[in-house]
Amino acid sequence: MELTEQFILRQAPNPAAAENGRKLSRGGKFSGLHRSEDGSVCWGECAGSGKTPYRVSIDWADPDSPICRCSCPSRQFPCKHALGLMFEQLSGKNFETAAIPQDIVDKREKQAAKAAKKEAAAQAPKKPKKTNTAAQAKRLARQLEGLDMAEKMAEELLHAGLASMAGSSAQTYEKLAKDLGNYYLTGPQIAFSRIALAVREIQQSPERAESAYAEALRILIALRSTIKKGRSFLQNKLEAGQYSAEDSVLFEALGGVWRLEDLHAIGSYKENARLVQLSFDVSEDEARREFVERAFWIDLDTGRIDQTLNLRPYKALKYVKAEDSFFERMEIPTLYYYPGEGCRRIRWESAASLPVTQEDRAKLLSLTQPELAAAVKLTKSQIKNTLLPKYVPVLVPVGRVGMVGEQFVLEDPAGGRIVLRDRTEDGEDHACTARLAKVPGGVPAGAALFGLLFYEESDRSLCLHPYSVVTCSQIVRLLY
Amino acid sequence: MNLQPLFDLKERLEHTAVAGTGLLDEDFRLKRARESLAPLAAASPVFGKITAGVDALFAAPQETRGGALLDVLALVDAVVYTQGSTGCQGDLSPLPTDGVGTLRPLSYGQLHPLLEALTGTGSGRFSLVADVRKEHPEYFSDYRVLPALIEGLGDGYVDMADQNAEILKEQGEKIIPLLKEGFDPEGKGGMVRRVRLIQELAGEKENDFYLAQLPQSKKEVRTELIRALCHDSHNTPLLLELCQTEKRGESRDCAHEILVKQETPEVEEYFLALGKKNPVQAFTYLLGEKTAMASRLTAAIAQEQIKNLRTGKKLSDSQRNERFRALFLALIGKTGPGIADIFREAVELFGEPDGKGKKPGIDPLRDLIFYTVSSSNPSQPPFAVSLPYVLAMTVMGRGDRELCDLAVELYEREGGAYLVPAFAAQLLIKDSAESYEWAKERLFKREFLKKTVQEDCLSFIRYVLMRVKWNREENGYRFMVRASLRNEWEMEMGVPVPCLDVRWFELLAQLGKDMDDALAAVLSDRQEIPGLSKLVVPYVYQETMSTLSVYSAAEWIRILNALGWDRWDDFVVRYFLKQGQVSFPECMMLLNTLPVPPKEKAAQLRKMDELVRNKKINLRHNYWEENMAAARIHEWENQPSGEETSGS
Repeated sequence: MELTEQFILRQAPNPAAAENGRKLSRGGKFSGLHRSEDGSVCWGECAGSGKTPYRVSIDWADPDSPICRCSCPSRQFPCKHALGLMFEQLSGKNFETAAIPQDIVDKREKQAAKAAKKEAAAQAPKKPKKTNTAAQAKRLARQLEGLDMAEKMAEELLHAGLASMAGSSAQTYEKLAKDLGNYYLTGPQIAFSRIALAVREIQQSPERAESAYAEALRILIALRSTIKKGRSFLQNKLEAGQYSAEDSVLFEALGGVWRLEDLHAIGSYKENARLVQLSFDVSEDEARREFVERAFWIDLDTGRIDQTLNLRPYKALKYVKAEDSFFERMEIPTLYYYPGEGCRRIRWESAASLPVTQEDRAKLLSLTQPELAAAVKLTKSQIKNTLLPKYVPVLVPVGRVGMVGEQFVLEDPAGGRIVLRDRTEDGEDHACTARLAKVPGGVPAGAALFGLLFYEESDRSLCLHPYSVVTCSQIVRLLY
Repeated sequence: MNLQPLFDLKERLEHTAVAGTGLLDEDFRLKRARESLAPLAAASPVFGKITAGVDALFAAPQETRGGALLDVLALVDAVVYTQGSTGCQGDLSPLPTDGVGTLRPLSYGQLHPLLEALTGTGSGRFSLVADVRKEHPEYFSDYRVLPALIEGLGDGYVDMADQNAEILKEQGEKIIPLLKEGFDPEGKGGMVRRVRLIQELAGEKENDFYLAQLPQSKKEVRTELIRALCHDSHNTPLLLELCQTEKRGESRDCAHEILVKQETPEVEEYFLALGKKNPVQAFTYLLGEKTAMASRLTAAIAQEQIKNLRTGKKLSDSQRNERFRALFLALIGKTGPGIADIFREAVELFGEPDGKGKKPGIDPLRDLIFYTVSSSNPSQPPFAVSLPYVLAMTVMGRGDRELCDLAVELYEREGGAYLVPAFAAQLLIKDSAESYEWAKERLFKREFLKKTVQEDCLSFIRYVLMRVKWNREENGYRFMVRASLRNEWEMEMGVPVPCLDVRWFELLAQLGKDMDDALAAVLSDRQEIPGLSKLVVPYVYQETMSTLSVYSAAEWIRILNALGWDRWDDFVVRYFLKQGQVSFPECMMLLNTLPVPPKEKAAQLRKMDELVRNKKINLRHNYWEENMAAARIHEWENQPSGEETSGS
């Protein structure tokens, strides 16, 4: 593993920590830099605000997962001092060779013992898990009750009409949402939280009432589908006495949380995957009270485009590591897929990174949809499913990109055209179509455009919100 | 297939959702929409399903109508999506390929905070952008950042907008297309800064742009565009026109300020006419101009005013004072035919300097600059006091021989404050030994067998010597003169001064504290001074130790170092012990200035810290930072000797 700036940035819990580490290094705050003879451990002292400098060390025994230790009181991990020590290494500062301090030796031994114990536990034959079937059955029954309650709430709302939201209290819906949590139905719970937000929007900005009604209606349509299909799904499980996670999008829609071992158990994984990131963005989900860090990845072997979602709740922002744009190729020993169609959520436990080669870029260009029409067909078949998102990420070939009047338009090599525009549901901070006109060197023929194909209500057309331009030499991010 | 019935039905169903299923039975429009769909239902099964869904909705009991409505809507949406159109008729104009900026692999974490700071509001933005500018200047050339920077030229926080302008300037001429894109000649601060930047980057090359935008422009943008016309001399006829047609004062003044720099017969004629009509305005425009035309105009208009005064042309006191104030300010920096005569006439008209018993301040010109004429309460104009300094500024700034001779002539005739321009002139005319002797003669009055110092002359000599600065690049002295009448701290280089006689340094040291400022000025930045008296360095050391101002002490330390002083051990400790008090920032300021290795600084700081902790020295404002001192000591002790530390 070569130590690079990108590597250090990826280790950091957030960009500010990395930048603070860099400043410590540039400010000459480090002293007493040493390394072990084999170079696997480095350590030093860093001046802090107090009298005594902090003792920092990095254990590079596993180069892809360095273990950072520091005597500072920060709860961030790794702290800025450890990151600063990495920058010291990166900048080629002189580290004198010395024997590893005893406290680090002790910690290494403790770490090794812990790892060995974990390995042994993993190797040991697993005792079959005892499922508390009574509790599981009770839970399923409760969920069914909750679905009935959600259905009744939706009926009442539609009987009175969405216009009644203007006169009602958002707290009513927030309470209803909270009650649904008691029925283990986080999916429908979030739906009513979103309706509560729509109520607030109508009351705060009456001129936006129409769009708020449309949003509420979309939520209710999806909720209806979740309730109907979910009811059938849960009843079948109850009757069959089957309580484990199932390969169905309904599991998560009803509020289930997938663990990697569950995904492994249902065979929803692939080995030795090679992925390249096409774009990265962050949005705020007020209903869930969390930030959603989304990246779209393309599988170099299959051409599938899937997404990672890093969810960072407001109340735990400091403790959940932020994700970031990634510019290298990811080599993943085991890649897990969440159930679903189209663009699925993916996760992995560990991965190695390598630079994107010329060959990789050429491969990317060969993975586009054969033509726009194919992408459009794929999108139509997916967005009509009420339980799936109303957009599909696609990589399409570029014949020409230009303007017809004020509109940006993509024409594929076959002559098919599609309007390029920003998807309003993504928010103003995701607006990037206009950047196509600013790309230095332009968008050449033979390139590919990555973006989200979606249905635009205002003119009943299918449009593409471009996120990146893929050329033979680079991936040009229009967002991040 | 005409799908309008489907869209109509969708609209009606959505309306039902908004109005409520409770009113469904009265909704005849929905029923009509369902009927209109019937022909489509015959053609395709999916439309049949939709009509069946609508029927089921009407047939459903009240308590399940909501669900039925959502079911049919889901079906309608699914069909609508599959019917979504693509394509776009018309000529496809290619996108530009000359996009400005670089393509960098900058991550969300790197780019987003910067873009937020540039486009958002709130505190902390300025310092974030400043930090990025210091640590990662390459971010600003990214094609995604440049537009945000340009938008930021109109930031409501002025410091932020100015910083954005500085950053954009660093990007060079390549950003000009972006600056011109979306330019609004009727805009506000952001557009003004755009014009300014285009000027600074491209000057006359963008003259066509300035001319094209001018007709539609308004207010400050217009003023800035007029200012931009200075780069191309072909704009002179237009400027002449604008001077006469511009209604807005600022734009009109700007046009004049630019026009006065264009040396053509038409321009000269115009200003002569203006001088007859409104001499105060004419002088205001001539203020600070150094061209030959400006000097001719000043002389001609001034001559006219003096003639009027002498011939008793009726003017109120305040009118006269206003005109002559403007005249004298305009005279600064003017040379050439007629200027010397103007000075002579002025001295004659306004008498000898009224300086008896009144010690001039550091800059008597200020009296003239800030003199306000009020007809209701006309105060005594400070012309007599200020005139010598007007002449002095001109001599120091231009070094004109005729004016140097005039200065000496006036001093010999009038004496007093005319020593200031005369001494400045002698420094230029005579060689260093002669000018020294000349000045010394005037500094000391021989009374019987002893010489006494002429106190008045001390201040005049000091005034000149404080403006003599060593220029390292030229390895010689130059006068430093006031660059702006509005800001007394803004200085510019005047004419070179022959090297000062080495006896000056000893003389100034002997004259003591009154001449310390002058001594510091002439020693500043000088290194080896051949023949320097052995008295000077000890005197400087003494002054360093006794000065109450740490800023002065820091300056003296720099001078001592340049003169080869090397006894720096415990220097700072000794200084503060002598002062009897210390504060942390003052101590750090001196330590940072001290030309010793970091370890020595650490040792001195450690001693100061001990003195403070043991209460062996008083604290000024009770201000000492123990932890910061410890951290600094640690840093200096671990720093290699060759490395300089930055001050904190």
